[in-house]
Amino acid sequence: MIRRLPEQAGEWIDRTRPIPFRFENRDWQGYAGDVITSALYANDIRFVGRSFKYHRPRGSYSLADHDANVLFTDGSHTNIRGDVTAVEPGMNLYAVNTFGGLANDRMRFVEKFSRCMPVGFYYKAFHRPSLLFPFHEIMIRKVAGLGTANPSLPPPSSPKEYAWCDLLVVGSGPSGLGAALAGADAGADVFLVEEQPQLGGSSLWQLGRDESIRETVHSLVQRVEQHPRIRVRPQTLASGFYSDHWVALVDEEKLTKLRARTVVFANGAIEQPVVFQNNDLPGVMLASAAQRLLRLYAVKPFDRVIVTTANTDGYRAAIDLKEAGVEVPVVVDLRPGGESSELRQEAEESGINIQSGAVVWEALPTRGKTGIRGALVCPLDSNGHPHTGHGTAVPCDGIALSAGWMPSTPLPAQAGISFAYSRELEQWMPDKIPDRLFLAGRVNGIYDFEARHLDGKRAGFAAARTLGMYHKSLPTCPSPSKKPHSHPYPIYAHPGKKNFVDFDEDIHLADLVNAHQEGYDSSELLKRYSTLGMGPSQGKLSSMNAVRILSSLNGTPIELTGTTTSRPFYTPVPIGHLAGRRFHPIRHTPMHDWHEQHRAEMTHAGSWYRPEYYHREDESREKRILSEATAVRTSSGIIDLSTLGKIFINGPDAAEFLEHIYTGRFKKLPVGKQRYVIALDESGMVVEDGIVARLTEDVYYVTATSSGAEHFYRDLQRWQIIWEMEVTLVNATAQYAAMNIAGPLSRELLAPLSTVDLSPEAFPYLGVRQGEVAGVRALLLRVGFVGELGYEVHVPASQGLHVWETILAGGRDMGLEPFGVEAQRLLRMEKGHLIIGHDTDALTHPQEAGVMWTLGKGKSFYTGGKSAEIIGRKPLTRRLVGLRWPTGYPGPLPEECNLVVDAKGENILGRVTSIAHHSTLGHPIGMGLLHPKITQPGTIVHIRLDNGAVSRAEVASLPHYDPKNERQLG
Amino acid sequence: MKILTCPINGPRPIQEFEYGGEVRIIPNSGNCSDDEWADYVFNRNGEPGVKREWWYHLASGTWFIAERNIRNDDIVRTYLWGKEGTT
Amino acid sequence: MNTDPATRRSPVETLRNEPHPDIYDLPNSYKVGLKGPGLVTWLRKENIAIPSATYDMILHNDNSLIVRIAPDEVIIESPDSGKLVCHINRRCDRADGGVYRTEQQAATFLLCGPKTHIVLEQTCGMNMASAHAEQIIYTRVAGVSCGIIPEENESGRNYRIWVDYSLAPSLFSTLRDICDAV
Repeated sequence: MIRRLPEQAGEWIDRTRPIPFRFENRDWQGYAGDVITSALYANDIRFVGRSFKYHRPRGSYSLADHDANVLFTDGSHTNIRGDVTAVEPGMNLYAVNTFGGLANDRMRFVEKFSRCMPVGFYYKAFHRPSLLFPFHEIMIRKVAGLGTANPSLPPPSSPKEYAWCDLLVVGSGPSGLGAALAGADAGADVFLVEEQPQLGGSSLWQLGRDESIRETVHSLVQRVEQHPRIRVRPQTLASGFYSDHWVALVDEEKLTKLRARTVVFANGAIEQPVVFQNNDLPGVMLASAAQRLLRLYAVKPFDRVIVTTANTDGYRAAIDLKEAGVEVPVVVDLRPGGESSELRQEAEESGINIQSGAVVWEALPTRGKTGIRGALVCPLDSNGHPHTGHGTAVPCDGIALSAGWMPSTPLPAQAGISFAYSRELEQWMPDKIPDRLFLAGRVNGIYDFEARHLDGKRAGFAAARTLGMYHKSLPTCPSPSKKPHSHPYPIYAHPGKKNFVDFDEDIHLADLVNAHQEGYDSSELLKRYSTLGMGPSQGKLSSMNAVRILSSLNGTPIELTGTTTSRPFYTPVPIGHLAGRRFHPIRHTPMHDWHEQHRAEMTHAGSWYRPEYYHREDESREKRILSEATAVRTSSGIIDLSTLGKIFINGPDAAEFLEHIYTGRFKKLPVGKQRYVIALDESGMVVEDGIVARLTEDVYYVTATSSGAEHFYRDLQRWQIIWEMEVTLVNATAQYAAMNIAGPLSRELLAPLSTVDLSPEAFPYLGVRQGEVAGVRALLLRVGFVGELGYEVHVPASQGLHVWETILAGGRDMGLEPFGVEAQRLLRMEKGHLIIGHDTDALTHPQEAGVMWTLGKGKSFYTGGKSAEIIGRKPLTRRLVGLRWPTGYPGPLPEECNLVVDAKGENILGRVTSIAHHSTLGHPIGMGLLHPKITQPGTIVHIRLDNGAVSRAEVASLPHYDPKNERQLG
Repeated sequence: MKILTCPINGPRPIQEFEYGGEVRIIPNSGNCSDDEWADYVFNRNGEPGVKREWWYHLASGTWFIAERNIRNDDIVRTYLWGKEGTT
Repeated sequence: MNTDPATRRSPVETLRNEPHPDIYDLPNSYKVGLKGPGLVTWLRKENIAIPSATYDMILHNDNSLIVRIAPDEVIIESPDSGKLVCHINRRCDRADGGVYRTEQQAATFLLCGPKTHIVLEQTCGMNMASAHAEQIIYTRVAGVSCGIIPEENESGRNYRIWVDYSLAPSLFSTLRDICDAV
């Protein structure tokens, strides 16, 4: 660790705990408390990454994750952010975006072609001919991009957490600490978030010899940490601001969804680069980055540095660097008059030469461009342009930049705070601030330590006052700094075209000039065309300079140029954080465990899990389905129908209500009877079917489709409100288990278990009875959905499994077998019953579906009735019919949704909605929605298959099975 | 995440709710023209401004009305159907 | 009638083989509901107290909970003996005047112990720690709609969770896994 300085007060590293790690296949050592970047710098590794587009060597620019130069991978995690990730023992890191290692990256040649890759290059180069785009896309994806995702990693399960507070303070510099303490002292429950591991913000490193700042901050931090009403979240970034003060806090482990009643933004300012030739090379960095290295990690950033500045902060940095043993031959001050504070004198006294009205116009690279060997310092003329002929080359290995700050506006802007540009301070200042939001510190143009702290207190008390917790008058607002801390235009064009504005995306000044010439003259357009600000650091170091450049190109002031819209997230967030624990609630029927124990193949049906069929030995799926269906036809079967929607509609208006909802009539439905029903939506399309059973005079029991039931119930609730009917609705779907026992032997096997008389006279087809089955209170319904004698048994959910097992045990000797939804689908198709949403679509009306018989005659109103009547006056365009193929048909068979076409294959005449390649009838059958001219039974229709072949089917009258319904009536 | 105040359950995060469309006047299907009816069934009005909307609180099964300015997503007030005057 | 323990099964029977310190299934709590415009009159006639406001609850003298979930609806939960529930089941068949018995088969879980609030903070968008105790709250936990009753006791807060029978396995395993993870 050859660049490590002697132990000093305030450093974050623990020298008693060395941390061994690997970088680019070599062993290194850091200390506990180091971030990866500082550990590398301590070992004199200042070339740590390569740029996104040109693969140029890069070093850390900000040491605060404000740039995307320092991204690593360890094979599992990608884009590990070196500036903010603690170095850990055994880490094995590589720079992202290299081919063959950082030093010998095979893609570094790309830079040589940079002149051939103008702004908008991708848009221009790869879209013609469009045929080649897929090829280009593969190439671009391979070459571009940062880390590589490892698809074989097990998905992490990171928690997401909700939290609530009275006051959120973002940032823990002097203003944030002041705000948190003021708010908490007033009684507010405070959340304080800080991106760094320790509280204090810039006052931990931006000292300029003033050690008293550190002591003051230390005592404030202690108070904050001990305050019972302050919850401190270090290493956490407030990264997105959403409606109603919902703030996304991102840390290493998780996303916290914080609801804050009030918010103080004290998130400081981001130091901004100066644009000059080769301003991206390792060795050029922000002064704040150098100061962080010095003070937090005790790392000497350079041996000999030129400080380029336009404010007092640069002098502080120069003094601190000098004191740490770095040679500072010269401070280059962009301002013609230079610095006027006593710090200038202090700097001069410590032997630093000051050159005012000058600029570093070019950083002179070492061989291989992995560092710098000097800087070309040029005086500026009266217009602020460099006298390029009068430059002096000054040898150095570092250039520290301190020419300005951009208040950290993105998060407050997301919160709805608007900013206006201040000419006096050359920075954004808050303009309109919505209620319950406050700002403090540098964003208000306040730079002095004490004033920032006071401003924070003011904001904290103001927040507490909004919360009704603070009733005294507020402390007066400290006045903003008298002079700007930012240079109005720190941009110095150089014909070398390596004067970078955006480091993430390798965008240099000439790119923006070109884009502007092509007409992209607004911030939003320029961003999208050039991709400026679209990289991982989201314009933290580039958007301010880009606005200055655009404003100059347009010849309009910055306040009229405006900046781009800030949107979440402010910083990249791992996808796993957003996925969280991935809650996907699935509904189980009461017999679920039984199905699994009996080798059911389970399938999703809406939010439910249902048995598709039951495995036996190693029989094929098709064979199992057919065999389950055959059991129903020949002996009997039992199916779990608990997923059916079950709704009670009770009360004096129940029948009237039902007649409004469904197409049929119910006032004369006798008690103990049921009827098949259809419901339409307001456009007259079939959306629901089921049965309505009348249990008592004013109690109706309704079943609805498994996947539509929840929505249907909601609709019923709303219609009840709108129609103001005296009806009591009860959604009983999950309260009851339901099963259908169907087949010729069903009566025989159910009779001994039931207290209800099942004889055909006492309990005819479409009857409904209440009694007991297997000792449990049950509702029995005689149904015929699968075309056999059958009974639905509905019992309380918790007793469903008992009843199911009892019936199965009782019927075992008679060949009773469980069957799944696939066999049921086959059986009902044989019987010609449609399934809503399967044989119908969103545009199927009752005439097409062949369910006109459900319509009650002479009804004055039902939902969708008016639409159905209008549609009825128009010619029919399709109708649901049966399809069949001969027994032993050798040819290819269609899949569901294959199209029916005319003989020439030119016109579409319909589509197949259901298909069974095997049926209990011995031949393939299907259903389809066909044009009326081909619905005559016996018509041969042509169906185009997936592979283009044609299958010829015969239109069949429905039902395919037992057309006289003798079996279900039995 | 937005907060919506259910008149029965109080302020809740928006994911507890389902949107039910704008409150619209249903023409009398007994005596309206086909065109009037078709307009009701198929046309929706997306004009910016305050809309009366149906919202449903999923966990409790509560329908209510929210007056929402769709220009800026501001919720003006919420109330149960027919209880407009009581809040 | 419907309270015969021999025929009843908890929806999470196979999930709770090992007792868990943080989440309990209470399979022996019996529930029944009453709904309809005649609710208040009927209960008064039966001499059963009804909570005055929606979402309030009353502890009946046999330790049954009577929770008013709407102006015209209550759910009654009786522990083990199921006395009040049995009483309602017997009486309500004869009930008239606009009150209807509703089947209530929701599962009851008890979330308790030191991890309770961490688990709720990771699964529920409502601030449960600051919610009124002894009142039911209908909200979503881990994407599942349920009713939660915060209950105060000497050791802190427990949460009684009522969840739809069909969603109970999903919610129980999610909560149990989070209890184990935190």
